[in-house]
Amino acid sequence: MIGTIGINDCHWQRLCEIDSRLNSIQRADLTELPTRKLEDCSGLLISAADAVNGDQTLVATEIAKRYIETGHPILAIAAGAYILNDAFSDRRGRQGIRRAEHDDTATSDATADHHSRTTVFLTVGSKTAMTIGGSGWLTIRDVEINPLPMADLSPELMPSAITEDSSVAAFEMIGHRWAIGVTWDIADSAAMPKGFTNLLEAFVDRTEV
Amino acid sequence: MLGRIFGTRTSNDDMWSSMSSLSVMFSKFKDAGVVASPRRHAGVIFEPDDSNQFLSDLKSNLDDVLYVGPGATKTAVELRDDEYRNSVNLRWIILDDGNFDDLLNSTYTVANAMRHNDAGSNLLAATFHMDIVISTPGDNLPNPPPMVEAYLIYRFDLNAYYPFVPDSNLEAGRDSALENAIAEATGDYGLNVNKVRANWLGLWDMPF
Repeated sequence: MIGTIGINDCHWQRLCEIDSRLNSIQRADLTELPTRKLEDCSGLLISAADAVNGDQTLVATEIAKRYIETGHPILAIAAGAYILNDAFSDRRGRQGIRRAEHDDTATSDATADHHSRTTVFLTVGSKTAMTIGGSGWLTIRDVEINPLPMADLSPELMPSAITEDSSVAAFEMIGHRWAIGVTWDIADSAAMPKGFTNLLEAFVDRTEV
Repeated sequence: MLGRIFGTRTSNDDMWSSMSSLSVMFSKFKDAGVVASPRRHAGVIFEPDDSNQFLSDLKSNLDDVLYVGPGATKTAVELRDDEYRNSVNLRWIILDDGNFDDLLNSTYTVANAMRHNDAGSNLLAATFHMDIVISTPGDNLPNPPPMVEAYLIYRFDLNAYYPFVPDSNLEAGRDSALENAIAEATGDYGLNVNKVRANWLGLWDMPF
């Protein structure tokens, strides 16, 4: 069984199209009743369609924070990466990201620009780069990326993809078996670059007993 | 093993204390001038189990429990399959009564009967619907702020409540800021609100 946060039926279906093994895996939304034992979920998939305000996701953040302790693999995509970063930040007793504090105009402009063409640096030696199958500078077209400011990244996390303006497009936790967050939705676009959907497949690999 | 011997679930006395505290809270709200009122429906959500004799003929058994004998009530009861959660099989007992104290009594009676018939572990939550005038810090709302529709969810395993304000316009599907404000207000007026936010699990698309 895979635990999910913020993934609706439609989104799940699109993820199943990327990796058909998900069709045969039971999923449980950990943010709703009935209660589940977190240890019974062999992985956690976190998403959210839009940029989120931390105040709207307090329950999700708390559950993600608890799930980290299980040591099972975690993949956070799109705005789910913000939830995962908040969860790691909270573990350190540091206030998590509050998107509402940022300049909305600047954010939307950046988003529009990122949506058409974004250049990111995939960090050499990171699990993210190794899973995608490449490292170094990479230009991505027609994929919406909502990078988070470097200053907001939890100290427990390492940036694994960085944009030209030094924002964090993806991150991972050093020392964790497999906890990766990417600020794009791997199920969002047919134009997803080759190798990017490997992240979902690698996640499923690791959740299979 | 220890859990089996000593029991890990709420005792019936604790459950009644929690249920009745809702009525006390609304009375205190009224005295303090807080505009809040319960609606006429409550729900009990549970996991069905046909191997349990009481649950396998639940409607008939509930009719006996609620309508026969000296404690008979006028609360209407209806069973309905939960249609929202595809991955799990859950059912609702929906109770309808314009008298809130009777609604609470009947909700307790239903849960108590399930416990006495080996179905206590099947109980997930009881939910209560209410309207409350409340604002959150930083709100730029008219004075007085508008009435908010909210639920109070009582988790049987925790013997505690938490607020739930579904809002499909928000990414999280719920309004955590309002939930915080309601938790603070209801806690201040004597409701046992669970402090652990990870326990505030959502329950979308309630059938009332």
